[in-house]
Amino acid sequence: MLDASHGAVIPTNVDGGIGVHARGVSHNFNGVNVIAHADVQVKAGGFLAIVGDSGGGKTTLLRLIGGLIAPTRGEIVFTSSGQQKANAGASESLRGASDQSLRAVAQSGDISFCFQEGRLLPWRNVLDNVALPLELDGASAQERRGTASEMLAKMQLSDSEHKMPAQLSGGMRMRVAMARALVTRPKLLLLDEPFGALDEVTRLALDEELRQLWQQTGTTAILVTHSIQEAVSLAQEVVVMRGKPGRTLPVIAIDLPKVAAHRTTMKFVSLCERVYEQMTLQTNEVAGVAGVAR
Amino acid sequence: MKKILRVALPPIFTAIALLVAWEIAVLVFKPAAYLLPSPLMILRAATNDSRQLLNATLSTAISAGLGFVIAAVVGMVCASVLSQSQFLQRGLYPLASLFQMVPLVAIAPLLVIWFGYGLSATVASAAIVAVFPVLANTLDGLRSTDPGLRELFNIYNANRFTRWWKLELPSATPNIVTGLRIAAGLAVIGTVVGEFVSGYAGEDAPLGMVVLASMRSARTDLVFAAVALSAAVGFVLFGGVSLLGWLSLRSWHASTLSR
Repeated sequence: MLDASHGAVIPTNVDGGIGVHARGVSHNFNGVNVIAHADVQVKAGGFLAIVGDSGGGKTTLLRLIGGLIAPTRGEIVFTSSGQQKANAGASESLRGASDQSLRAVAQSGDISFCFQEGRLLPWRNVLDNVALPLELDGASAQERRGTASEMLAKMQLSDSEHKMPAQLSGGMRMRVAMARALVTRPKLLLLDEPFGALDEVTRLALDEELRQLWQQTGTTAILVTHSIQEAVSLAQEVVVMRGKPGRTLPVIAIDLPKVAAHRTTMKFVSLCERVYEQMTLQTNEVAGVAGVAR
Repeated sequence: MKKILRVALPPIFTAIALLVAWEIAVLVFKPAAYLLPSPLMILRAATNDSRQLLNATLSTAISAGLGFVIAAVVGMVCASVLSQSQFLQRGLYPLASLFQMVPLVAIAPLLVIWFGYGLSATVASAAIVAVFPVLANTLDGLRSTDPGLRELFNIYNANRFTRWWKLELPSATPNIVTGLRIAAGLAVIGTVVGEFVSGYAGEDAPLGMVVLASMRSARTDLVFAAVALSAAVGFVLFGGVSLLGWLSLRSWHASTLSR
């Protein structure tokens, strides 16, 4: 696998990840269109960031991809070692069937979520929080604690194994949540504003840690974030979501070396500028650009 | 230790001051002993009849304790079942709260008819008053589980039982503890009311009977002693539950974490 200290190499075909294609996906919640014809794609082992306004449907898109909700129209296709698993939303019956196939992907621990609030169980210590996914998957106490402990060691969190979440800082809590998300060795890691509530310095450190973990594990990652800089510095591709209902704008490829120090380069700044332009398009322009994207 | 003293000393001092004031008031105003005996007179009566009072206290404590345990188990089990079904909740919860409105004193005679005189009737009486707060608080706690954590368990495909056992129940612990604390006090009240109706005289007559018998023989000092002892039973039960609650919450819940 890759050496994190030489992060310039980008994994292109790592068997650790699955590819995802959300194709023409719409979602309707209580009669309100939240997402219309969204289209995003990420290859196996890739890193995609979705940025956009609050309430623009970013989180909904992530939840659709993760199978927490079903699309009203369109389909989510997973590609893993040659086979395809689709979550289509064309008709009621199709949707029911596809839910099962999606569940089959999720059941094996292939998809992991990491949320902004961390979502740790406050009555469990760090070790048992990280071991939770394995526990719910039926692993024995020894097995799951061993694996969780290894994961914590890898993230230099061993000293905190027996601490309770209430004793941890916000940044530490997120690192534990990340450890929990990665303990099942997921093939797809879905991150919903994971560091949105943290201070800038902690956020930069965790961005770097996330990048290294992604490179080490080879998992596919989709990050939803408000921060243009975070998106550009971590992802290989950035998709902007705009408007109500949310639409996806043309993909911006980020051909930056994935190392920590690039945030000061001109290239980084100009890529941020491009994302910013899409984020500040007028509403009428959004429809036109989004149309071109399809 | 210092912290314990800081919490315990003020109420102890207040209680002693009140008792001293009471003693002095009786010395000064000299009311008839059957109207208001002084604390020392009550203490003397209690030591003279210590054996009977001790037996009575034990009997009341057993009844209140058993009633409390039954209420706790029944309340938590019922709340857990109700929490899993909207239909059951809508159908049964209003009835359970109506049940709560029935005055215990009015149904105590029924308990005697069903259970006969003695322990079973007083235990039933204790359990009946104590069950509702456990049920209501547990149900509230189970239903107010953080939706984010629920979603997390869904992501991991946890089944209903696992979700209840590993998520809903632990997250409801603070509410359950609150319900149990209320139930602890009520169990003693329920027991004494039950004893008024179904109590039995004799060597191990419970505190409720001691109160009644002493009242009839104008032994107000013994009435006071019995009342104080039943309060003590409630206090011990309440304290025990509070301690257990503190132990189970101290490492994670905001109510117990030091600020």
